Amino acid sequence: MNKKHWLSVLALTSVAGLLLAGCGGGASGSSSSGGGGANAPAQNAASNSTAASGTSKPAVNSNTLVIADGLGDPQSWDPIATFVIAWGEIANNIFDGLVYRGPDLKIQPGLATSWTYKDPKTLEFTLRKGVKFQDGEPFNAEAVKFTFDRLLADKKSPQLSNYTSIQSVQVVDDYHVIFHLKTVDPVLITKLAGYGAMIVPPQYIKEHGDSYFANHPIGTGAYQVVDYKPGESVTLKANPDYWRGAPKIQNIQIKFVPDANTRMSMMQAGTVDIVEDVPPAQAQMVKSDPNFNLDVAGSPTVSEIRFDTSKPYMNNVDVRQAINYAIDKNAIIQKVLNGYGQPVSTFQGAQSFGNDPNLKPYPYDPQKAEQLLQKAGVPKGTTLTLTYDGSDSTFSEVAQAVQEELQQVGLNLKLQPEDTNTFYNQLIPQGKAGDMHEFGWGGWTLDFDNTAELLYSKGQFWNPDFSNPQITALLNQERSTNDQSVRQQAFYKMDQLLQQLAVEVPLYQQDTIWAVRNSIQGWVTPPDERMDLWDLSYSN
Amino acid sequence: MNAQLSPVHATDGLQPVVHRRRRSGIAYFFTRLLTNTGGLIGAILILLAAVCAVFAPWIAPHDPTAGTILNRLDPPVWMKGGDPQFLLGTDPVGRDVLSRIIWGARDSLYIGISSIVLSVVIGVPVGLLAGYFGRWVDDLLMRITDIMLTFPFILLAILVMALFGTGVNKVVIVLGISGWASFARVVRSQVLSLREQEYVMAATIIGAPTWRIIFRHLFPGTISPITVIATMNIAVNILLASGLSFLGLGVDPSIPDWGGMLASGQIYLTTAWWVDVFPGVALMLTVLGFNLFGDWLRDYLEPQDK
Amino acid sequence: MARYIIKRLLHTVIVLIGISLIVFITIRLTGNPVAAMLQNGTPSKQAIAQLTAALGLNKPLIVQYWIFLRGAVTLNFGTSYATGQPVMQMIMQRMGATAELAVGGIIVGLVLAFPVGIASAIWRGTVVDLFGRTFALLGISFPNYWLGTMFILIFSVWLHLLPVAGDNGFVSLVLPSVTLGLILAGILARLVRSSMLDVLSAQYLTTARAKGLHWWRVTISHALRNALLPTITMIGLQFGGLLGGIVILEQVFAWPGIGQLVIKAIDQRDYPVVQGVVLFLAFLLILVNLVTDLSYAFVDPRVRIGGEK
Repeated sequence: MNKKHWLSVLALTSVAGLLLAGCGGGASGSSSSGGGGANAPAQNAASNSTAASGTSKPAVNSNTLVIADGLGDPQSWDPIATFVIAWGEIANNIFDGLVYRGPDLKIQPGLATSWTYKDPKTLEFTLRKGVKFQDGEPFNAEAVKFTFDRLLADKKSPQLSNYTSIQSVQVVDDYHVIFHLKTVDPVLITKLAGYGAMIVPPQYIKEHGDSYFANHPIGTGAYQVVDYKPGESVTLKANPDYWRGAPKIQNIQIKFVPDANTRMSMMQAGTVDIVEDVPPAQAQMVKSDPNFNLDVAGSPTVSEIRFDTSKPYMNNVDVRQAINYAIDKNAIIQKVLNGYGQPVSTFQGAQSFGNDPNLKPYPYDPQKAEQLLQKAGVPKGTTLTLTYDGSDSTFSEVAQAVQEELQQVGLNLKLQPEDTNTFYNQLIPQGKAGDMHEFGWGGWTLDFDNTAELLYSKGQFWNPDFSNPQITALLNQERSTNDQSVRQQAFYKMDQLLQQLAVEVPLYQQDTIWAVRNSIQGWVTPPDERMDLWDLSYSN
Repeated sequence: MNAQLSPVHATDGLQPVVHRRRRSGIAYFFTRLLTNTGGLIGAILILLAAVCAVFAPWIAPHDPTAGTILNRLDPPVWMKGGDPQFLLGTDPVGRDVLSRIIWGARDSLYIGISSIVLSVVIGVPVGLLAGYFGRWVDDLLMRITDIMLTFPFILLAILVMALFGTGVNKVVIVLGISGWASFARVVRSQVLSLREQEYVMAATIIGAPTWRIIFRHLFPGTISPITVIATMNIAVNILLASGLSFLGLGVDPSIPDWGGMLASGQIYLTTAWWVDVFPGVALMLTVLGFNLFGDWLRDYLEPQDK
Repeated sequence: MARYIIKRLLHTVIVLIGISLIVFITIRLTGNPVAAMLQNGTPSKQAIAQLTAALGLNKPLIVQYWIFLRGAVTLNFGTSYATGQPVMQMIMQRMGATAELAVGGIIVGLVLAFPVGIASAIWRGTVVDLFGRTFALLGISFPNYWLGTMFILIFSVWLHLLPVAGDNGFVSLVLPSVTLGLILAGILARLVRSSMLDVLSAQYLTTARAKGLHWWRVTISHALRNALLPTITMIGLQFGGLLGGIVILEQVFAWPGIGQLVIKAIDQRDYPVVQGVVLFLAFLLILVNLVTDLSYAFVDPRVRIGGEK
């Protein structure tokens, strides 16, 4: 027994040893950039540095461009049935709206060549001639009317809420339509580049029905869906008759890969050409890969910590300002986000209409924070809670850094990760999200109007408590006119006021990071995730 | 999450064990344990985790919750750029990985053990009552058990967290509630066979009170299988807790917890493997310990199975 | 027998009604889909109220439950809030991939479990046995999402042997099946081992050996026959756990099955999809258990039916 015993201990420990060696060796193995498929992970763990980088294999299939998409399957291709960014990311290439917003986030003519306000509530569009849907059906004023009639009639559509200012669409002739509005809507033109306003083919839908359309979409866009496998992938084929010109790459396959590790593994294994949403933690890996470029763009998505101003201490502006001073936003951006983010002074990104570029964020000043806390009478060691979306791994690290920084000024921060949906749809609306909570927001219209209305006007879903008469007045002023300079002034005033009131700690505008094979030309990283694949081509 | 695929249900398939008298006593227990390699290794691994859990404040070189982001992701000491202060390197927020692993033993053992206690407290009475009374009581309790076994664990986890919030004790509640059904099943089938035993029938005939029959005659016969399942389910629950962390339903990430470290470290596997691999090994060894020990315990307590 | 089956079917109905009620309540207690549906739009007060009414979520709960139950009887679980597609159609689109993975996992489990279990039993008490048993336990000692990621890293990224993820035919089934199968293998190997031990110690074998028959062949064939029943039962019993594992692994391997569907639906609180999938899986699970029990009784007439369970 004794001898056996000894042997088996050996056996067991060597299993554990193998495991350790496997992992250690792997990490260092990947840092040696042995090219191509000959990648041997058999080195000693002790031998190499931390700057690990996987060397990907060269492109596998040059006929089809492959994209690993982290946003997942949009599940329905019908523009009015969807609410996920995953839809816009892909469907941007299948459909067109009357106006077009490209990766530069500027509004340009799309299926409409020009538009004029006849009065603040009447808007006339001149339509592009000679455009066809991918099935050959002509695009005309009827199609526009059909699209909006269909949207406004579908009370279950999650898109409807964006277009409630539209009363009706009137056909003037084949290439002219007039939008009659219920209320003045200064953001309408931007919204017409939004999902629900994508023009759909009337004949095709009448013939095949909504359900078929949702799986077999037809638009006027650069690419047509030829094969959709739910939960797995969608394959696109170039539309040779596209009105901006035929796309150069014939076939594109988009694979739905929700797990970030798996996406990065696909890149390392060389089976993809473009990777969406590279985690900041793995950006270095892309940088040191000879076959891929790291493409970064500032996204409209901003992150912040919001105070529940109905809670004790949180109702005191001094405490709120103190916490603003106590958090070192630049350190968080540099360290946690690896530099992939921009500081923000209010809860909007630099591209947002209404962002005052001259307003500076609160500086990092722990002494000042301590003074303010003392002034407010907050005892040392007071515990406050911060709730956040537990599935947000980046914010989880941010939260821990914030915890550390508040510790320095004598505040204990209790972290509470929550289930995503519970967090956004139960806790925040019911005012149960602790003393402060994470908030992230896409601000897709790139106009502060939407954000400000939802977050600073009392009784809105995500804002059960906060209100301020001055802000309400500015909000009303801004949304009752189409005069953009008046609106801008109102927003700038609001920005300053919000900062003084310190309703929140605006943390950063996060960059969106993509990995793109360096043989691909014409790629522009979309800040709003809406890829524009039309102009892509292969070099050589 | 990590699959309710577990040795728990393994025992479901076994035929009810006929209770037999056998040699017992602590000395015999240890003699048997010491001569069995697997069981012994299991016991040692469990002991190791227990020592870490109990003596963490004295063993751990650093405060597991304190760190500065400036020390973010330092590699282990033997690698280039390693800092001798941090033997196994630091995590993304700059905390000592080794200290967090040592402290992490506390949470993992606490979650594993107390959730099983909760399952036993619910499941055993249900099994005893169902088995003893039979008829509609049995039908009712067993249908509830069936529902419990069929109900998706994730949904239960989200429900508990949504209603009561997150935290270590909520994880315990989720695991405890999701686990009691297998105890109820096993105890019930054990009771069904015990009920037919002569000494139990005799007690019934002489008119012994119900509670006495249940506690004096039936309950003792269920202790062995309960012990075995409990031991192996501790392993399962530690894994399940880490699965919850993977889904973002775990505990406060600043609290040192293996599951949480493992789940949040996944993203660093290719760039800073030590953040993920070391907690993974700690978790794996402890879970393996409970599995090895439980496996041996089954042979020890239920010898006819061998 | 007929009475037994009727009784079991009755139980099935009761359990399914119970499940449907619990899922219905649970999913509503944890939040509603409306705000999620408006998250990239304008979740203003009016918009939320309007959408709630359009989806029929302002009706009394009992009415909503009745509508759900009435549809469920005819396998009509309504249409998804997220896609407007019939739920049953979505389930069917995904079911194939999940079934592939389940079968793959079971095959891997069996292929690993039998040799390991048999070897363990034959060389009982030796290093082989310890190794075999430890291997069996190792399979159930890892979080499966972690194991999956490790496998991807080792076999796909470093060795370039297998595809990382997605469903590209047979090769892409290998890694997820192995990850899933390892867990099952651990449990099954134990079972095979003890069946084998029974056979080895049985009297008739001694006889067979004495008669000079090729005892190896006899042993193995007896052991296999002996292990077959408990193995079938165990796979049936583990089916629920198998599904649980699949849900997670589909996420890791980007496998287009029902697991990803339900995780997403829970995330969006897409009530009809969550209700439909859970009820559908519960039904499947109960059916598998029923068939297992019946086949058990059918194959081995000694098993008394009716008394147990």
